[in-house]
Amino acid sequence: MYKVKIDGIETEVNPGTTILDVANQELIEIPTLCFNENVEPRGACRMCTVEVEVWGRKRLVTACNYPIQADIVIDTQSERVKKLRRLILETLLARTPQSERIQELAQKYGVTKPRFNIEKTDDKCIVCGLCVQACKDIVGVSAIGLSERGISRKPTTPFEETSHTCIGCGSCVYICPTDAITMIDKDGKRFFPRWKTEFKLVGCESCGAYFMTDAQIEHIKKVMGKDDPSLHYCPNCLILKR
Amino acid sequence: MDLTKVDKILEHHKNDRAMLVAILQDVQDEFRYLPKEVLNYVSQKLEIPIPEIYNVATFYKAFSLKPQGKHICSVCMGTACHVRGAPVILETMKSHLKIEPGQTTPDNKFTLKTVNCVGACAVGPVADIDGVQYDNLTARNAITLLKKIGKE
Amino acid sequence: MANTIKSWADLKSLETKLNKGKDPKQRWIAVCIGPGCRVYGCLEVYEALKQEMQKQGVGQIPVKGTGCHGFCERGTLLVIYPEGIFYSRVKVDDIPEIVEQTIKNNQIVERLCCVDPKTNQKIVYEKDIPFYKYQKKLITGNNRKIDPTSIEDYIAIGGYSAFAKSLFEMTPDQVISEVKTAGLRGRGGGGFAAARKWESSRKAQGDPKYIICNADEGDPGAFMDRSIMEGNPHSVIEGMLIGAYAVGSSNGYVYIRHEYPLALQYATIAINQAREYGLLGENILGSDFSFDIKISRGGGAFVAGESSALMQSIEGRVAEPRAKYVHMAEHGLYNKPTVLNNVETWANVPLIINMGSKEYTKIGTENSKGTKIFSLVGKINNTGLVEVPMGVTLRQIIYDIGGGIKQGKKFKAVQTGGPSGGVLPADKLDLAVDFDRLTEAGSMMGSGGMIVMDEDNCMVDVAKYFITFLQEESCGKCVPCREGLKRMLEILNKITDGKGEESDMQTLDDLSDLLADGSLCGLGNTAQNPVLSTIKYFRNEYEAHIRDKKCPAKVCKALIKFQINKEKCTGCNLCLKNCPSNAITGQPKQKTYEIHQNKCVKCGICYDVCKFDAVIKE
Repeated sequence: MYKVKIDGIETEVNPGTTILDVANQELIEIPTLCFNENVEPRGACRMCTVEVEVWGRKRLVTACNYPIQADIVIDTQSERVKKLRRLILETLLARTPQSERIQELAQKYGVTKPRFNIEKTDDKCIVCGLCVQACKDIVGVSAIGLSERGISRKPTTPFEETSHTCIGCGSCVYICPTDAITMIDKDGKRFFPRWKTEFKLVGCESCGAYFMTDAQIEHIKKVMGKDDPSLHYCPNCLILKR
Repeated sequence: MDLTKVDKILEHHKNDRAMLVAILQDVQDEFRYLPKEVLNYVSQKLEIPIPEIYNVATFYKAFSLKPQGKHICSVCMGTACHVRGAPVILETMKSHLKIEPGQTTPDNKFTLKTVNCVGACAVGPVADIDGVQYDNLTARNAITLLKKIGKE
Repeated sequence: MANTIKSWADLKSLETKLNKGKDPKQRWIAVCIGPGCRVYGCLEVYEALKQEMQKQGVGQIPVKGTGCHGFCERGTLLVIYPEGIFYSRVKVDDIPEIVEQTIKNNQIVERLCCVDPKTNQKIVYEKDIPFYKYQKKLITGNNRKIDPTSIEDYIAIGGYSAFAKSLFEMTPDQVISEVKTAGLRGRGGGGFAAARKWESSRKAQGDPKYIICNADEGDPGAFMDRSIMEGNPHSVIEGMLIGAYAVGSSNGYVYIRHEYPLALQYATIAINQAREYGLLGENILGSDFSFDIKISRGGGAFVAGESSALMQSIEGRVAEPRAKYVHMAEHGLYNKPTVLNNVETWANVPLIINMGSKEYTKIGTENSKGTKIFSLVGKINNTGLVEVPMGVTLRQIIYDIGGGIKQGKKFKAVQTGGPSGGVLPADKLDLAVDFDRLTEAGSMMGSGGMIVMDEDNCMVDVAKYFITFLQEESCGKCVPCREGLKRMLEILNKITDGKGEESDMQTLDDLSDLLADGSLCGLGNTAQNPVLSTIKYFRNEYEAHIRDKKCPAKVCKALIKFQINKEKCTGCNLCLKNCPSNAITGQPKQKTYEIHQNKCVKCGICYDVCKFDAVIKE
């Protein structure tokens, strides 16, 4: 066990516990954007950066993926940390001025107008990589990936064309921290503008409500190796059936 | 598209997924760019999802997803070359060929590129044309050089 | 296999055999075919020499195409040993005379000799040339003696004997201890104690363990590693063998940058030869130690020089760095214990074992032992590769060895440490060059790039250059680097376009904090150094750009004008002919030439092509 002092609160943790875990335990809020407990923390947005003192020296580390390997003092509110959060948000606000989540965080941490050219776009993507991780590690389909490098880096379908492997499950939509991916269900079809991909929606055999795409059903059948009632009935009717 | 050439490349690298960058370099040497069809084929053969291949193909500067010209001219933009006037050389070539770096002339003769240091730092400004390095370039001799190569 | 060396005794007898009958007084000739000399046609000179020697009946005198001698400014270099008669700027047409006069008749061809800039006297011998006199070529010296494609040349000068000594007379712990006592610090820029990495990996759990040589050399302006890989690749293999033995690894990688096809070729030849001679593979020299090396090719990404990104690249992925809260020495390549060191670091290892740490520590400063190779380039007379003991001053390197500023211009600054480093002005010239001293002054020694700048270089432009480079090379994973560099460049462009505001200086300062404190890897968290150091020492230039809308060095396009001096103009029409935007009008042979500012794109071509200095920048 290692001794931890986080924002003055003292506790003990098992080796390997992340700073974010400890913070959550002690109900201390650390802002995050690219973190999701269902996938490996990439440490890409840097929003969760905190100041620590360990092995006799001070440094800044990301809370989401820093494993505690010794006695440590953690400050989640130091001047350096607060300044860094503001600067990160200032650049993100300039990048995605229409993102409600970024606007919210900016207001919370005291960022008003960025000192930079504001991008004229309604794109809300901050390239956190969560959509790619979800598709690959949670769903197991790997229909999208990151591409290009540097300021052009972004999640796309291969060759930025319609995907032939996407199943239209919408996991990317749910996991995105800034609502940058839209999913439009209309007239029996599901369309993802960002992925230029469209699916037919399948209706519940009981009530007729659309509940899955045809591709999702095919995929699940293949993975499970067999058919299943959940592929024929919407969640509500499924409960009634069982 | 002759995919047997791709098979040879994959075989040479023992179908090792860790050799992806080298495999794509060999593909580019063979086809002068990375054709979509070949990338899909490599994805299939190496059992790497195509988004990952596309990621690698668009991340590294060595690769081009568009066909390149007959002569590839790379102007070195390393610090030593910069300090000795590389920007003027680039401007000269841009204006002579009438294209931006990354583009190919309409007659497919030249592709202009920039490269971040070829290690010939003592003799800059340097340009690499078709694997041959030309040194101590000036605006004047850069134009002469392009004209000479354009005739080939 | 026929050439396999089966034991240490066999290695020793091969060395003896190769040196048998070799008279130290016997003549032989070295022609540098290193990277710097290639552009001068050194290969043609080399071929011509061999042919001419045959033709003139002296074909029995050995001629070697060797690796880089370092004096790139004066290529092609041809040196006649053992005296060290040094000919430079040698052309194919000079060969018959050299063979006739010097080889056959011991006469010096004076016009091919270097000239002492102080006395104007000809200098005949290599050892007397200021460029070489003040160097200590412990690592690069052997480049002059061997053909890099011949393993036997390397063995003949004692190659692989340090490895044999380590393998048969020392335990792995003793090897690590020796390297620790020698104080070997990483030469790739980080300056981390090599032995500590080795020790961590040795102790770590996990199998297999990996040894990696970082030959990515991404710093623009640096070509030290290239010269070692192309001049003496076996020294690197030997270093890796010693390291592998110390750590307990059987698997090595050399990661070579995409832009170095020749280094790739030479490394491949060297590795294949080492295998052929049984120095790589199973049961080396009859022991139970096995080790082999694979070559991994870069794809053109500066960020791949960062250790965690490099390992991703070796695994066939994009070069995206990752958090190193758990050290690579314990969880590196394929999550296994991995030791990664730079080319020059590995090349120092056999030297340390051969010399012994006691002798090695006599060279250098208290915390920076040994020598360092620098790529001395830019506005300097003697451009090339320089190897000096650490602790030599910038002044000694730039003036004594480098011969001072080209064309008699005034020294302005020297940039060291690549994109992670900074500039140092004239009043810092007496700083000793080592890992720590330059860092204290706001720069860093880095991998060894040393770019000299004069009065015609604009420091704001230099900062912009580095930020442009870094923005292109950023992998894009983390927000501070990806967005911070974009915005920093935006502001620097504003300033050099004459649209800068006072508040921009504070914004640059804040963006520096964003990069330093927020970035995931070393590319981002040192990216602010070029900006901060140019502001520190040349604030007045930033102020001139912002307040006066002027570029004192006359570099920033938006702040200068090109005009034609009608007095000097001869009407040759060259400027008009080469103008890309039809901004020049005039009648040939008449002094009516004029640059129309509304069309001029400030490319500088007219200024460059005019033979009469009639185009002026103001």
